[in-house]
Amino acid sequence: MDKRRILMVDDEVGFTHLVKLNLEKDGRYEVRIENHGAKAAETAREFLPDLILLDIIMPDKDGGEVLAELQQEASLRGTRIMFLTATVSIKGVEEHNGTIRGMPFIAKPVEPKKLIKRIEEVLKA
Amino acid sequence: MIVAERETQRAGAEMPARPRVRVLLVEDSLADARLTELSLTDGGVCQFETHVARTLAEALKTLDDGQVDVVLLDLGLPDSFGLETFQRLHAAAPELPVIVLSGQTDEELAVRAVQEGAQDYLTKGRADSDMLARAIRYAVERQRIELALERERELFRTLMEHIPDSIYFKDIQSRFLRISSAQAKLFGFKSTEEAVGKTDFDVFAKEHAQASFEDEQQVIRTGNPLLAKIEPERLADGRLRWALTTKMPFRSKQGYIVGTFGISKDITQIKLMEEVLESERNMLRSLIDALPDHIYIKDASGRFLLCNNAVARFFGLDSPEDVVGKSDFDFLPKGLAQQFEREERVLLHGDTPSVNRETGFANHDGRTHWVITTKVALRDRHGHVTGLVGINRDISERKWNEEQLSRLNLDLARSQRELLATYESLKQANEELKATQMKLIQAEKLESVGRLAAGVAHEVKNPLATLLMGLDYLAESCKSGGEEVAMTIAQMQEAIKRADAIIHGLLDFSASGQLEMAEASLTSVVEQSLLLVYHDLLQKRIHVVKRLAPDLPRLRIDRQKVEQVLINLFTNAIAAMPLNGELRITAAPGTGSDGRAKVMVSVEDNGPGIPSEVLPKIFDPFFSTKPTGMGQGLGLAVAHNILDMHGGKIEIMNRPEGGACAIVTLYA
Repeated sequence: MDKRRILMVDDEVGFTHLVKLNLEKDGRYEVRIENHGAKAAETAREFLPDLILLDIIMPDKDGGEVLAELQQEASLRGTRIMFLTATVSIKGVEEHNGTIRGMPFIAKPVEPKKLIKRIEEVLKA
Repeated sequence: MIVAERETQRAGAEMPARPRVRVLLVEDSLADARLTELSLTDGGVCQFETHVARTLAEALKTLDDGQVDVVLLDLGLPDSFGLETFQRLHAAAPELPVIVLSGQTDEELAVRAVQEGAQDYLTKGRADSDMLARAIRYAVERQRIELALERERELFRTLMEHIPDSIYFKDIQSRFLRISSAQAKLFGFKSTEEAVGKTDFDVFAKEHAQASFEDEQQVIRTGNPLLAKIEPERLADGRLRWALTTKMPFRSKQGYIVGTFGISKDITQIKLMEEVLESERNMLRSLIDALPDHIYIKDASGRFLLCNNAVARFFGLDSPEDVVGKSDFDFLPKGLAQQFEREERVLLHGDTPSVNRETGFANHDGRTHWVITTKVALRDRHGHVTGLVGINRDISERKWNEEQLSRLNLDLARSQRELLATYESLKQANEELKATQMKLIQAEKLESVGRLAAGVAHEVKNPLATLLMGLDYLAESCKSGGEEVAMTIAQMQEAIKRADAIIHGLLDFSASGQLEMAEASLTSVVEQSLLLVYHDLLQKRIHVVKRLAPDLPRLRIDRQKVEQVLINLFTNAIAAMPLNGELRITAAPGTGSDGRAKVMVSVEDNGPGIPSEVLPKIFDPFFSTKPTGMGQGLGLAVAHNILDMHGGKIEIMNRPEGGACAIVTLYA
């Protein structure tokens, strides 16, 4: 079975690196990192991931704008997008039924096991 | 004749009797005496009673007794002789008629005696019985007439000499015939005779003399007297006096008018007094007319006898004369007139003066007028009440001023009260403002904490996320590294979670600023919150005692936030208690001081309580008594914030029996 392709868009270099290590160690995922929000769409078009983990607050382009770009990309229709951000608390997520702008959501910091569990839920949905 | 009169009086009671004449016969010759006595036995119309004296001394003694009407005197007596005998006897009894008895040789002596006052003389031996009797009767009668005349003259003389008034007689040409001594004195004459022949023109100023002359001529012409004329008389020397003059026609015996006579009384003093009285009366009249008070005199039936101008003006009349004879009923409303009448009746009968009585009444101008009245009974000189004297003062102006003043005072008092009330409400508003300001400061403090939290959260969470990811990787990678490495990594992971929890708390705190209100039952909120700490309760084996009143009102609240508060309180209580502690939860309805329904939820524990130095800081953000790592110090601050936004409150205190108690109050 092909590995699930996951694109991580986050300006936090250390974090993206460690998520990549943890996810790839699991063996089910191929992880690509994009640390620049502005380049997210381009990377996504090229990589064509199954899931994009999208940070919200980034210095060059924030998650909301990136989401809008990605949603306009026809080639990415089948790509799932999940926010992974430090912006809101768990409680905030609960109040929005676990979604932000209709997208699934997971708050930083998160343990790898929980992240993987959530990724699987989103991919299966 | 005195004796005769007595006789007449007596005769009225008995029978008509002849007048009795008591005769003293002074005669030293017994024979002559006897002879004379005999001739008087039959007195004709008179009855003679004869007493004989032999000497002058004896005669004088008899006269002393006074029982004698006439004396028959012989001049030749043993103890006196000749004319001297008559003189001595006459001196002793000057009013007694004396008839001298003379011998034929001394007739001349007898005539002299008659000249000196004897009534008659008779010659012894020549007079018969009838002659003697007639002589005696005539002598007595003559003497009586002379005496009477003399008395009249004396009276007239006394009158003319001593009356202080001017009395005069004038002839037909107004020439003085006779004037009184007082008038002579007035004219400056030495004697009354000086006036004879003079006229008024000689003694008075021409003006008066002329007037007087004309008056007299009129009296003479008409025969009508001039009675009690009051006139000024100016004398020739300029003196002026007032006289009350009466002039009468002076008639002759035949009835012809031959002049005038009259009397003038000096009434200058009376006139002066009259003038003084008049001027005093005018003064008083001017005074009472000028007085603004109403002054009046009423008779016993309430009619005005007198009043001043003020009364007339009050009744709307021009002159006080228009008021006289009328009563209050002619001018005042009936009710008021009746009231005055009642008061006056009491005064007239009860004799108690009514002093300074205030009476208010509606006048024709529609306003209430006020008079202050003093009435006193008026008495005649016998002390009988004949009416009353009254003084009314119109005090309407004063009353109105007083009323206005009291109205102004009331207004002032009301304004003052309003001012005070305004001041109180301002003070209260100020205090509320201060409280609000304090809350704002607190809110601002909290808000800045919130903003800080939101800002910091992102920056802190990212490194935390990286760390968590890294540790997990390391844990997987170093499974062979042994127990110590695994433990180290676990502790680090725990530390990261703790840091994350703080961030979450901060974010919750910052997110507490908005409420989503809905009606909810506090009973279910309490139950739900208890469920959420069920795990902790179980772990510490806490015994829960619930006393939730069944009739709690439903309140509009942000249910989740209130649950957050209760969970916070439960968590704190559980944390404070040892194993097997008792958590007591009470909810009861009540009424706030403003009448609003309220619900009070108290959460009590039996832990150690809160140290007194900690209590004031208990709601400060980031203040915590829990050991580091056990709490963020935000729970109570958030609870306080949430209740504040609900308009409710939270109080935390120590229970007297030990442990702490938190009371949450929410209003409907």
